[in-house]
Amino acid sequence: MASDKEKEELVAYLDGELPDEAASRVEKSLVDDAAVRSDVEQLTKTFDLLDLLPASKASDGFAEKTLTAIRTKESVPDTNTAEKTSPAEKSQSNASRRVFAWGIRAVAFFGLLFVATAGFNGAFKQNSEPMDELLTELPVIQRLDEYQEIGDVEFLKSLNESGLFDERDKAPQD
Amino acid sequence: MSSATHQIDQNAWLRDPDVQRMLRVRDDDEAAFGELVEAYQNRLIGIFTHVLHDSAAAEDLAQEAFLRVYRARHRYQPTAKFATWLFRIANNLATNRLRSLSRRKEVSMKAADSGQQSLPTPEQLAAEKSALMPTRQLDKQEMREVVRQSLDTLNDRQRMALLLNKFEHMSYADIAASMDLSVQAVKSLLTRARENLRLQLEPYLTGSSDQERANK
Repeated sequence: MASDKEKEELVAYLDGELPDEAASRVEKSLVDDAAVRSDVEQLTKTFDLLDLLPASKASDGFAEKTLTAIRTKESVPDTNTAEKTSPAEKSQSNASRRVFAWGIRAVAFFGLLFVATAGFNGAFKQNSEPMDELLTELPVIQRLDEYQEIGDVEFLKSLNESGLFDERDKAPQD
Repeated sequence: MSSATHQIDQNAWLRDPDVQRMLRVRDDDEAAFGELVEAYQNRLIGIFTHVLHDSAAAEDLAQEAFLRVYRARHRYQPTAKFATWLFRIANNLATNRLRSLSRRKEVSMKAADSGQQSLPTPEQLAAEKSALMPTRQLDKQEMREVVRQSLDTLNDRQRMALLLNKFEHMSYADIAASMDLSVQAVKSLLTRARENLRLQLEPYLTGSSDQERANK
């Protein structure tokens, strides 16, 4: 039985990977030694049996499917479109795309600002209306107890007609 | 290595037409990429099918390999034959897939039971082997199955090295570059692979020789 080193040399010889000197050594042992010849024969035959394994082939349209999958994953432009577009057109198209993107951003910003302002004004107005009413009615509210004691407007009219308020107005002049 | 020798080596890679195609891919030439896919699809799928025994999974992995090539296009430097670079990617993908399949198998075996029953004993293995013994001449289909099973007895690295050697006709240096090994390691790996294959298939050799003669 050959040593590990000898086996390595035999296999490398069969694969054409031995330098000339080592190859000559193996060839000499092949002539001299029947056991080595048998080893080489078996190694060759068993290796050749691998040819029985079926050769696999890609399914129909594999290449196209692969290119489509890569285009989808990498957002690669279609070859036809890419070929028709010159570098100058590409650069112009990129510039237009950048301007468009900035336009979209500006519209979004001002839109947001408008909505925020309108919302603030609306909320302020809604909160300030009851406050204005209270301020207008403040003198009445302050003397509400007295007004409630008087009762109604008809009673106040009759007092006025009796001349009571005229006398009170004149009193300081005396 | 001197710079002059390095320059000569680099020029040698540049003579590889697929390196030229890949350089066009680097410049975003999608048609060149399509040519590479067409040229290598069957070769990649063939290797992956021998490794995974599943043609659909082999196609998925081949597609992943091409995607990686495409993604790496802008960083591509021609430092080897294109096939060597591609099969290095393929080898990494196959190794990762086999590792993940083996982990999944481990989990499912643990989940199935104690796991002891599902692992065949050496006696069972011997019985399975004896069932394949060539007590009669096998037909081509049966012999193909025996060869496939023999290939499966090799470990993942031996099998990949053998497949690249046999079907891609790669030199030891190219296999070493594809598998990230030294040339000496590839030499040892291939010797063990060929020796294991011989042990598995030796009993069938007489039958196959007779069959070959009969076919002739």
